[in-house]
Formats: sequence, C-alpha cells, structure tokens
Amino acid sequence: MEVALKNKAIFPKNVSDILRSLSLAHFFSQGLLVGSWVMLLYKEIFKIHYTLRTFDIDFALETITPVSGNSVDLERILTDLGYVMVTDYQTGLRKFTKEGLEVEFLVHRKGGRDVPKIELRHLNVSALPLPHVNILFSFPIVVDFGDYKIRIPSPEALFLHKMIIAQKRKSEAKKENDLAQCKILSTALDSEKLHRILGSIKLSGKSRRLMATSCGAINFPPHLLVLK
Amino acid sequence: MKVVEKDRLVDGMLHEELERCWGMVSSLEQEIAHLPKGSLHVRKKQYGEKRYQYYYLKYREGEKSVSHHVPVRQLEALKKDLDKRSSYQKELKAYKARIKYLEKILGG
Repeated sequence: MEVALKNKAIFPKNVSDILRSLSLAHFFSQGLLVGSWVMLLYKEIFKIHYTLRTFDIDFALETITPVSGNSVDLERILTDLGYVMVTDYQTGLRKFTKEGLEVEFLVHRKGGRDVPKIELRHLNVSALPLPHVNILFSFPIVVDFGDYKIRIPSPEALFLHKMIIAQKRKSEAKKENDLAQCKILSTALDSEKLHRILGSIKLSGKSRRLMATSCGAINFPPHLLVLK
Repeated sequence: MKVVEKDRLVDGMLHEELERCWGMVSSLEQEIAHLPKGSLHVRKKQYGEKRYQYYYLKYREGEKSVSHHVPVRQLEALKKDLDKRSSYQKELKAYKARIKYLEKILGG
C-alpha cells in the first residue's frame, strides 16, 4: 500500500529532517519508522487519533544481514544532521541524540536469548534486538511526502505486535501505553489484512496466550485473532 | 488536583520519559568524562627573524589554572575532541532542563 500525503507538514522539522535523510540514503528499503511517531501518520491516513508521543524515534530493521548493494552509513547521516552518538556503557548499545530527541534502531530477535545489542556493520550502527519485530514488516505502508518516501507498519501489524509485547513489558506504564494504542487501533482494523498477517507469521502458543490476555484487557473479541 | 493525577497513562509516560532522560544524562556524563576539557590557546613568539606559534590547552583543576603544551601533530585530534565535548555538554544541558521540567510537573 502506498499513500501520498496531502498534508506534508505532519512532523516537526527535526523529525522530518531525519526521515528525509534516511529516505534519500535508501534506508527504508530495509527499515521502518516505528514507535509513537507513526501514530501521527495514522491520524492523517486512517483518522486514528492518539496524541501521546515520546521523545525518541525508533527505526526497525528487517534483517541483520546486508541487503545486496545497500550499505548505508547511518552514523554519518545522523552526525551530519548534528546528532551526537552516545554509548550505553552497560549494554554497548549506540544511540543518537540531538536537543533531547533520541534515535534508536531495533532489530528482530530470534528465539529467547537475551542479547543486549547487535552490531550492524553494513549500517554502522548497533541495534537493540527485540522479539516480534518481524511482525511489523508484514504489509508495510509506503508514505509519500513528495520529495521523499518512508515506510511504516500497517495498523494491523502494529496492533498484533503491541498485543503481544504489551504483556511482556516490565514497565506498567509502557504496557498501559501499548494497550491504549491497541484499543485505538482496534477501531480501524481491516479484518482481512489482519487475517492475512496472522496467516503469514508463526506464533507460539505463548504468544497466542499473551494476545488473548491483551484481548481481555481491551475488550477485543479473541475470535477475530483466531484465538479461543 | 495536579494535572498528572487526572490521567494515569500520561503520568506513567512522564515517569518513563524522566527515567529515559536520567539514563541519557548518565551516558552523556560518561562520554564527557572520556574527553579532554579546557580551551585551546595559541602563543606567538618571535626569536630574531623567526616567528613561532605554540598551542596549549588551558583548563581548571580545582582552584588552579593549568596549561598543557599541545604538539602540532595532536592539534587536529584535540580540536575534534574539544568540539565533541562541547556538543555532549550542550546535549547534557538539554536533558537536565527537561528533567527539571518533568520533576516539576510530576511534583517531585
């Protein structure tokens, strides 16, 4: 799905500057904008209103291996925009920050092993491995800003992702935020697309149970997620 | 009643943001600790016909003002590190200001 925006002034300048630079470097052929900033685009495209936003921008990466012929020096792009690189000395994870805005990269974590970071040498950044990030890449949306394009998850993919991870959160505030987003997203879901995504991903019994718990928390009918 | 008490979700998000800011402050302070402090100065001297330039790094150590000679071969790297330190300090200031604001609205 590709959407050309009528209103292009959705993000503040510092955010649109990053998106434009990453887009011009072809980052979005392998990455997605994720996190709370996506909700601003959903508001414009799907009329989904969710106003709470954090001061960090997250980008998800599909794979830890280089996509052929597509190496991007993300550190260089961000430092050219005036960001400073900060290393978390406990985990070794590299993040970027400028005027309080933090940029972080996420990557899909396979299996249950808790790895604090993965070095993505072809992109010259490190990424935080998290489970179920792969779901976000199911049927993504290309958003056309005119002079550049980005990719974001579909509301259905984000919904499923958050329905699982909400129940894994250690922080109660993050869990509540995930569930509040799910509740809002549930009003604008395309059930056919939801089923196509559910049919294309493998979910363990545990993940299904977590989704069922979230269904209860937001009063979402579990049978719509093919759950008992 | 405080504004934050009206909405548990907003309150939780603000606490999360506060925690994130403290985490970033800690990381920024560690970055700064690894970089040289002070400012770069130049002394010009003339011996007979020849004019020489000496670079030195000036910084404070407690009450004392310290000057360190900087060899020309180390000059570029030092300039880069001083700029880096200045960027980190600017960023640290932004996070500290946000912490102050968040603590105020959270009533801490």
